[in-house]
Amino acid sequence: MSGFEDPKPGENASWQEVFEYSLPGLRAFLRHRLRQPSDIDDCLQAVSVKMMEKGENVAPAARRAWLFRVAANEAARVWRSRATTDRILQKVAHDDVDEQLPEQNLTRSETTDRVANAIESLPEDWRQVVFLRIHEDLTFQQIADRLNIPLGTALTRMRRALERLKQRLDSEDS
Amino acid sequence: MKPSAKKTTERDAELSEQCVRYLLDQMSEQERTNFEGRLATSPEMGDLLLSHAETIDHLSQAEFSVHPAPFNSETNGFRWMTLATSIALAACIGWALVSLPVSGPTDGTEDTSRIASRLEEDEALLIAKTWADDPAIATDVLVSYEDDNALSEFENSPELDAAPSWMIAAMSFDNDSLDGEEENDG
Repeated sequence: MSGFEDPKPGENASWQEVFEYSLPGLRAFLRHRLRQPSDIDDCLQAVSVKMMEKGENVAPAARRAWLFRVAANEAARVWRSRATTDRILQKVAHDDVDEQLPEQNLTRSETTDRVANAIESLPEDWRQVVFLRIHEDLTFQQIADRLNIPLGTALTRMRRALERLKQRLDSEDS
Repeated sequence: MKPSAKKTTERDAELSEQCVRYLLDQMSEQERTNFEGRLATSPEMGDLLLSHAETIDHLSQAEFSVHPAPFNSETNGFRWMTLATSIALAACIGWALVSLPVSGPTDGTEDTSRIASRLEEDEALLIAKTWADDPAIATDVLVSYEDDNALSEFENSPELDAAPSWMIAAMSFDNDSLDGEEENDG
């Protein structure tokens, strides 16, 4: 798989195309989280499986972000797994994870609600850019054209919106 | 703000923007390669990227709505011009009808109401033709008179049941039934 030579995936690219296109970035990202190249390969394999299992509900514009998030989770899982040398302890840990799933789902749902509330607090013109990029899957150039704003303004609004959301979610967590 | 602090903030903003553009696939091939090169050597960049990736992932799952995006002013201007032309044309036809001698019954009251009725129908017919050609023009006009929520309010309004005369005429226009109406006039 040679992601560097792959053409940029189009709007209707398949998950596999997006994954292969993202591989160089994912490898670079994982290099600081997992020292062993074999661990990185295992992690990418796990990301690929997750993608096939759960990826279909991810908005096209958010696919790459989702891949990096899953990669970070899988890297953390590798660390946890390596730290557990006893097979019995591993099994207990696995069972614990399974038992926590409903709770995790609840937490996820709560997070989604919190994000929705945080979005409502954003200025309308920032929210428009976020909506058009994430949910309408428009490029920033298309957004700039639609809203009659410079391309740089569209990018800045998106960045500020993400930063504001993150600040707000972090402050609620702490 | 101290110059050094300002510089740091600008740099943070720049890095942040690069992460957003990378995650949302808005980089050229060269920019992407450079970014991935930096990602491989900078754990901080990886953390920042992950932070934005999490927020984007949350955003993609959250349901929210925005007010309709404003129309492109150039297109909107063209639509307004089209409508203005239609109305001006209707006014000219109306003036011509008033100025021309009306044949038929000589009763003044009857003539006046007949001309008024004819005027209203002609204006409705012109707007209807415009609407039939491009419903967006007529819809734009209706929306423009109200605030941003006007379209949804209009769609939900009970007044929609009592459709305006020009809209009814447009339906008829689409169905080639205008000839019948003209016959009724004559």
